[in-house]
Order: sequence, then structure tokens, then C-alpha cells
Amino acid sequence: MSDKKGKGIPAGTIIPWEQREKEYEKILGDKEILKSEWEKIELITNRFIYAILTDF
Amino acid sequence: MPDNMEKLYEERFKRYVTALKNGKPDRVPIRPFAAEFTSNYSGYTVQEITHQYEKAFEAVRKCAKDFQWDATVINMVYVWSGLTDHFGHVYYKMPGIELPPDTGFQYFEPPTEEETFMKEDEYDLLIESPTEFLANVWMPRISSNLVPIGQPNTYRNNMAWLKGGIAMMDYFGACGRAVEQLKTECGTASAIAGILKAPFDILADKLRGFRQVSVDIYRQPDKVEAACEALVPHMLQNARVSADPAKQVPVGLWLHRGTYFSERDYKRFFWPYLKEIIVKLWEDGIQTLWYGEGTWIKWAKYTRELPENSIVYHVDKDDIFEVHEKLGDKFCISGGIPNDVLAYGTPEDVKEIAKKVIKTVGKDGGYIMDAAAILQDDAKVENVKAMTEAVLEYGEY
Repeated sequence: MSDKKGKGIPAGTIIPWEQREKEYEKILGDKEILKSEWEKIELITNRFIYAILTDF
Repeated sequence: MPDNMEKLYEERFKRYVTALKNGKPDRVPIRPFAAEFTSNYSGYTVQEITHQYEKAFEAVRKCAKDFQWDATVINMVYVWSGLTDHFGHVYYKMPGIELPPDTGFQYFEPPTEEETFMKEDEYDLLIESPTEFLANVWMPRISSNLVPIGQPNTYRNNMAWLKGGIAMMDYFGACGRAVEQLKTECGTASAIAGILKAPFDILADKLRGFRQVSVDIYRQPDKVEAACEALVPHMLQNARVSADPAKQVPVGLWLHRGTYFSERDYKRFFWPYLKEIIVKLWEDGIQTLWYGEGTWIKWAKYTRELPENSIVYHVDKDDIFEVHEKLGDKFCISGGIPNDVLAYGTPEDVKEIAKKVIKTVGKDGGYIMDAAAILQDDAKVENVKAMTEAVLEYGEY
């Protein structure tokens, strides 16, 4: 059922990589390096928001 | 870690995880969830263990060592008031601030529509994008420092975001070290990892308040349903990312409001969304600790829809023997030792009840000894000790 919903910011993200990727004027090196580091901090930041909601 | 401590830990961990999977270990494991009890026992004030998390960890370790616990939680006084103070939480009253230093922290739910953190006409905003709603609307309302989108920015706003994030990283980093210390210094396993809440409980506890959402289920039931549905992927993600990476101990699910529903409303607003999350976690190999506060056995026929061993069913106010009869073939059961007996009874009373539970609920394995609810400041030391004595005297297989 949840697959039908979930508009807006996807779970586990804050500013999804797909959005950030479009903002680079160009990427001359390895895009995957940028993506993996971007998503790592996205996950932690998203956890901050949901930890405030669920834990604190 | 000394060899004997490592061996002790391995024995206890094996005992605990065998029981979690409804198996029969060498004896019944003991896994209390202890909060303010630990400060009483360790000579700290409640303010100290709430505001200085290293003291909270130390107090738990002292209990784990002295009471020979197989598993426990590194800190059940889970709201570190250092973080809430930096972030500016408005819904807590804390020991040593608004409350006397020896009183446990209190959560205050908004009593009126005007004071809610999510207004009755804001369901669509939440449904459209939960994360944006929480960051842009909800968090500025639950923090005295944050300013909402569109209002003039402030130094306190910017610093509260920064300090809140840094405080959380600091605390969670310390929690990781505390798990290791519990293992190496006490030979005790960390009982759970991560957190899950039912989508409806999020609406009731933190967003609308129970009084307001109880009206919403009649005035705008479709919106309540859609909000629960929209929260599912986020609750699932939050549980996954905070769960035990080794997938050996369960994620904690603290259940609150589903106990108050009629069956019609439970089926509509509570159960389907919670079930979806638990099933998906189990598909990932993550077990859930069903910590139902109050009475939940009336929903046994729904709970039985869950895959075998996908949950550990913790017993608070239910009759543990009835729970065993209705669910014991599918799930491990924990708890059930009444907190009022731990507070007002004698060690003999505790041992008598514990023996009966061990010999009945635990007779074929799949039982973990624990109090019905979290041990607060009213549990007597000699009665907590009696729980351990009971598993040592009667719990061997």
C-alpha cells in the first residue's frame, strides 16, 4: 500500500541525489564517488529528523 | 576483554538470541529494561542520569553486573536532556529543570487544538511530503529556538539546528561505545537496536495529540488513513537504518494507542500500516520487539497474521498465560512480572510469580524474564534481585 504513496521527499533522503546531480554544471570525475558520499550524509541527516520524531 | 568475560558474554548472547527465536536455550534468559531504578541503585539522582548520559550508561552497567543480567538496554532513560536542551524541545519537563531532581522526565501532549504541533487542516501537507512537513512545520513548533519558514531568521534558529545535530551524533556515538562496554565489562548483551513506531502512534503521540486525533478519525477518517500510509515508508526506513546491522537483536517497537480502539477502527487505522512495516522488516531479516504498553491480547487474531518469529511479544498488562496460549506457538514472549509486585511485594512474591511463569510460559523455551514495564524508581532492589534468583533457581532446562 505504501508504494502507491510516498510523494515528496523519498524515505531516507533530504535532498535526493537525483536533484543534486542536476545542479552540478559538470562532473569531470567519477559521479559515483559524489553520489555515495552525498547519500551517506543524507541518510544520517534524515535519521536526525526521524530520531527527533520517534526517539526524542 | 578477559577470556572469562568473553565466554560469559557468548553464553549469555547465545541464550538470549535462542529465546528470541522461540527456541530453548540452556536456561531462561533475564533481560530487564531498567530506567530510573538504575539511578536509585547506583547512587545518582535522576537528573544526573537524564542529563549526563555517561552516568546513565554506568548505572546500567552496575545493575547488569550486580544482577547478572543476560541482556539489557544501555540506557532506558532514553531522552537525553542535553540534546533536548540544546535543540529547545518544548514538550518535555525535565528533572532538575521543571521537575525535582529525583523525578523521571515527563512528556506533555498538547491538550487543545490550538496547542497542537500539527493543525487539523494540515493533513495534506504531511501526506504530500512527511519529511518536508516535519522539518518545515513540525520542528519549528516543537523547538523554542527554531523559526518557521517565512519568518525572519535568527541566530538561535541556526545554532539550534547545528547543536541538535551535533548533540545527536555525540549521543549516538557514545551509545555505540556503551554497547561495547556493556559487553566487555559486564558480559551482558545489548538487548535491542533501533526504534519503530506505529504510524498512528506518531500522529497521536507527536503530531496531533491523542485527543485531537480521536476526533479526526470521525471527522476526517480518510485523511488519517492517508497520513498513516504516507508515514509507512519513513517509519520503515528509520527502523531499518537504526536496526542491528548483524540482525541478531530486535528493533524496539513501543506501542501506545492501538489498545484503545474498537476492532473496526484498529483494523482501519492501526493494524494494516503497522503490519506492513513489521512484515517488510522481517523480509529483511529484522525482528521486532512488540512492546505493547497496556493490553493487546484482544488483537491476537491480527497479531497471528505476522510471520512466525517476526516479533518478540512483550507482555505488560495482559495475562501472560493467556498470551502464551494464544501466541506462544508463533512468537517468543517476554515480561509479565507485574511492576506493582516489584514495587510493593516481597522477594517471595516475585519468586512465586516468576516460578509459575517460567514453568508454564517458559516450559518449552521462548520466554525471556522481564518486568511487565520499564523499571522505574519504585522497584525494590531485593525484588529485582529476586527475578534473577528465580531464573537461576527455576529457569534451567
